[in-house]
Amino acid sequence: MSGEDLLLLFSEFVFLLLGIITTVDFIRHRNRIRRDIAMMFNSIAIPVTAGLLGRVITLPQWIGVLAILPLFAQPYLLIRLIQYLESVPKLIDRLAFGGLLFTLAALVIFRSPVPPVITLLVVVYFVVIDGYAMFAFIRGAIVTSGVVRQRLRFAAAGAGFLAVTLGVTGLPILIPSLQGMTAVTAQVLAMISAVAFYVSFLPPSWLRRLWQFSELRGFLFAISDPASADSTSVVTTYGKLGQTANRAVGGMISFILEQSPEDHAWRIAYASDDHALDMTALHEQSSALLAWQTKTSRSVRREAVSNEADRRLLDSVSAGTVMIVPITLSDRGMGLLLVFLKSTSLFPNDDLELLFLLAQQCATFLENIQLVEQLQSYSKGLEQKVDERTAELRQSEERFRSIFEQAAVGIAHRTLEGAFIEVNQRFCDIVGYSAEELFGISAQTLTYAEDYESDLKHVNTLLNGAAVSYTIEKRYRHKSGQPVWINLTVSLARRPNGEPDHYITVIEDITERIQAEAERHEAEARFARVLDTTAEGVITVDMNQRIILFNQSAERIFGYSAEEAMGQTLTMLLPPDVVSRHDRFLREFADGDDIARGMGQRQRDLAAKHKDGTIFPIEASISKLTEKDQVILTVFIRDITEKRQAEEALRESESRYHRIIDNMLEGFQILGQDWRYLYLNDAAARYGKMEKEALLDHTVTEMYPGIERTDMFASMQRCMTQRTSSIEEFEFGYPDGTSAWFQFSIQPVPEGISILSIDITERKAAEAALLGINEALEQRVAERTVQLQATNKELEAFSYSVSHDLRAPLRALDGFSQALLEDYEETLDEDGQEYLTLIRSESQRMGQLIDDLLDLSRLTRTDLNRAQVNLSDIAHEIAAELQRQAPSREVEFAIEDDLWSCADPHLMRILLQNLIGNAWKYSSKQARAHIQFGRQREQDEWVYFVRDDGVGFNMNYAHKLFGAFQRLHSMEEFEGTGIGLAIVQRIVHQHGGTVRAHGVVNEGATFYFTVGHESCA
Amino acid sequence: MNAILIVEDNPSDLKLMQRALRKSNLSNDLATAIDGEIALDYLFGTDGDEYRHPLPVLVLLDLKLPKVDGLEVLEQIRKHERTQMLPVVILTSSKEQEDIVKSYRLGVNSYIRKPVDFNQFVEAVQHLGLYWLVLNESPFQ
Repeated sequence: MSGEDLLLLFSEFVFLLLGIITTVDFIRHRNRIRRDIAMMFNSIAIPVTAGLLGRVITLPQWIGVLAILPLFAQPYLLIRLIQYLESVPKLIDRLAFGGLLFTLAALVIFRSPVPPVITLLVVVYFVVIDGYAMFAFIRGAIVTSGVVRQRLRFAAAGAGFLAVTLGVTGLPILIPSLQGMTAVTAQVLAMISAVAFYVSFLPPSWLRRLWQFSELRGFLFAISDPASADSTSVVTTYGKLGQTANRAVGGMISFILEQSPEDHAWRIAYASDDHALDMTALHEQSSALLAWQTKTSRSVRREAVSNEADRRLLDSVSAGTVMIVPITLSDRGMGLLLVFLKSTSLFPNDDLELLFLLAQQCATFLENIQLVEQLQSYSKGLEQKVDERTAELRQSEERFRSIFEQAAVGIAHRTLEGAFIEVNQRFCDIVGYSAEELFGISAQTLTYAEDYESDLKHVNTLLNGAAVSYTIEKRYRHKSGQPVWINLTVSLARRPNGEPDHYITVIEDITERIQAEAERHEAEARFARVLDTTAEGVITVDMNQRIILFNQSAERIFGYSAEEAMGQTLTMLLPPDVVSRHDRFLREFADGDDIARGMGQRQRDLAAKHKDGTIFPIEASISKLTEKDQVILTVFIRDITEKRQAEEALRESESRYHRIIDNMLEGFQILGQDWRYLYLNDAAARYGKMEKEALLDHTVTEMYPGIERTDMFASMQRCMTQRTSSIEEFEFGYPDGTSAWFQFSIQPVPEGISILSIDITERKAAEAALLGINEALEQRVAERTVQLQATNKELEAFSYSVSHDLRAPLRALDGFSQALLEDYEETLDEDGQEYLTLIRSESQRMGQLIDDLLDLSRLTRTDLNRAQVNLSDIAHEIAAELQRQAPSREVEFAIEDDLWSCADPHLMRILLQNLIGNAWKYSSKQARAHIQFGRQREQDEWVYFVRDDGVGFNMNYAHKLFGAFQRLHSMEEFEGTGIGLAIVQRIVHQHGGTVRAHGVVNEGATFYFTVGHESCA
Repeated sequence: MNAILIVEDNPSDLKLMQRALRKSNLSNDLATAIDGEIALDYLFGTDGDEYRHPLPVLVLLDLKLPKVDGLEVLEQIRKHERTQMLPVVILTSSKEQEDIVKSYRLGVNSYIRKPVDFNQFVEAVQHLGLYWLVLNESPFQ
């Protein structure tokens, strides 16, 4: 057997194996794809089998012919397989089928031998269709990955090599000389094709595992990529699963669904594309639900759909196939992976297996994430708990610390030896040492040496257990050396075994209390001194009326010394006639309930007897003090001799005022609550035109019937009821028909009201007269105003006609003079011509004068409109204009900046035009002139000025400067009408300002002006 | 060529204006009216259905006139359809702001103040003639 035969045998064997295995596979699974695969490979395997058999046994001719027939269907069957991968163009489909028919027809018609041309066509048919299949497989391999891609690559290789094999086989028909060479090549190619098909459609399991492993490894790398920040999130992981699954099986879209644990509703956890999915298909007995419940993966192909739910699922994304894979981990379902394919898969089982593996890896990964997260949250919880406990502990410690620190008493812990362990702020405050200082000294430093012994005694009672604590009042030595009085409580803290550990000392500053006691003693002494200095005489007697206290004032009032009075009875201080009565009074008071009362209320006066025997008036009060069953009476006595004298003086003064009121010119009366006259003076009676006696004790309404209807009475009534005072003027009508004006000042007084009245009848008359005069004056002002307005009107009419009529004759003078000059030049001699020229220039000057006069009069007719105006700006503009008109002149302007004023802007411009224009004109003889505009302060007022260094003027003529048409220079010297300064003055006056000029001949002139207001605000 | 209508009561001024216009070499006829009434009659007076005079090319109007004053004449001119677009120039001695404002309010085309200086006067009239009769495009041509 040659190598050539061996090759042939090997490839034939491989094809035979492919045919058998795919057939077995189809029988086992019974579906269309497997059937089509089996058919395709059997189309090659059958003729191969026949060839193999033919070598061993002689087969009848017809069997050989029949066996070759399926081979012709091979391209067509391959195209049918391609249809599972992609839709095949109609043309190819028809070509495949047409080629099949053509080949069969050729076989029937020609039998053997077939003409070479036909054989060539058949070969072309094979090459084209198988070639197309190769490209379809390559395309499929590009869009998928993983196992499928590898398998499709091999399928492409198989189809490609098959096509080339057939092509090579057909080559000798064209070039017969190649016969020998092509046979060997075809053998080799056929074998490669067979192996490629074998690897593609029946890959060994180790190869498949290898492919799957590399796919899984890629996926695991992707999901655990540390570069992506949220690599551990479920969403990202699902996303990567979806993308990988899509790519692995060449899916068009993939979804990952999750079931809510509460209501078992499905939701989309991930979608590779923004596409709707019919979720209702998941609620019925669909394949998806079945896959979920049984935890097995499955694929549903449109052609093999068995229930409505699956169809709806496919329809909702218009897919041909869906692969449903549960994402599970040890029977715990996490979700469902759905991958939709446009048409279907050539190797659905491989695809499902790979997807299942991916899903499982994903589930494992997610489970790990969850475990890590749980662990993290658990440790976080622990940390938080520790934090909380720490915070609580700190709080409680702080609470204790703040109680300790802020306690109102001083607290200290001391060792048994007396050293300080801990002290609070209050303790430090009391003893004056800081805590640091106390830690450095022993408790003995604070204790006075003489107190050691008693302290030791107390401490021992604690140490031997006789007492739990002891409290004593003692002194500490303050840091300043002063004693501090404290209330000290010491207790002994013991260890759990009962051994003494340390002392707890609580101290309270009682220095103030000790001081307060001292102060009380002092106060008592002070009280005694006060008693001695009081102005009232104070005498205390016991039950037997013996004097037991007699103060200094009593000594002064009665003339007895305290020594003399002590032990005596009160009787010696009383006038003899009241002794018995007084005695009875004292007894009654001593037995009565009153504690204090004034004396002498029952009698008009109370009297006492001086040591020298004089009797003098007193005021007295008595008080009773029961002390240890003893009644002590204290009498307070005031000598009222002086008070009596003062009362007398007051009475005298009152009667004096009475006389004054009686005789004064103003009327004065007092009316009682019942409107009766209680008092009235002579003037009041005179004003009322009544006798004083007739009015007294009678009511007002009785005496002046009808008065209750007057305003006067209303005011009186208001004062009577509301107790308010008023000053008003009234006209009072007498019963006899006459009347008079009064000014009333009505005041409330305890008895009723008082009225002070003044007769103002004459004043009223004078006022009325004045009113008449004022009215007449106003009338006259109104008349004058009308006259003035009329005059103004006339003036306006006058200037109007001046403007129109006065100029016309001048124009005629000028015009006809010119006409004469032009038309009669020859007949006029030189003098005549000069005269006419003069007539002309004079008429023109007259015209200018009229214009100026009109300007001046117009100024008086315009209203003043004040506004904030920057005079500097205006001055600059005028200067620039002047310079422009006479560029050859050398003038230096010095204009102060920002001279703001409140004035009429238009008038200010005219004013400055005139002043600066004058300065310009009168400085024209200077080679280099200087013009200045500024302002200065004069008596709280801004004064503006325009200054030049021109010809100036003689101050003797200064008064003439501002008159209209007044000129100080000849026309030949300086031209002008002399109206400018008149206009300036008028403008300044309109502003309520002043203007003045100062000049020196040949040195220059300065014009000063003010504008009244300085600011518009 | 249509006439220029001068409305002027002052014979001296009239003479001077005629002289000035003559000097400015305008070939137009000069029609004159010595008061407002005559001026209005010139513009609106009819012989039967026909207007007595053809429309002037320009009216030079004084303000202060006997009988009917210049402003009223102007108002009538502007009111009538025939004359409402006629160029009217006020030529007067007055430079009262009030007069100027009123004239323009009534639709005057120009307001010229007669200068006293005859040379200036001639110059003004020449400018007037040049402007209104040569440069300006009239709606009637």
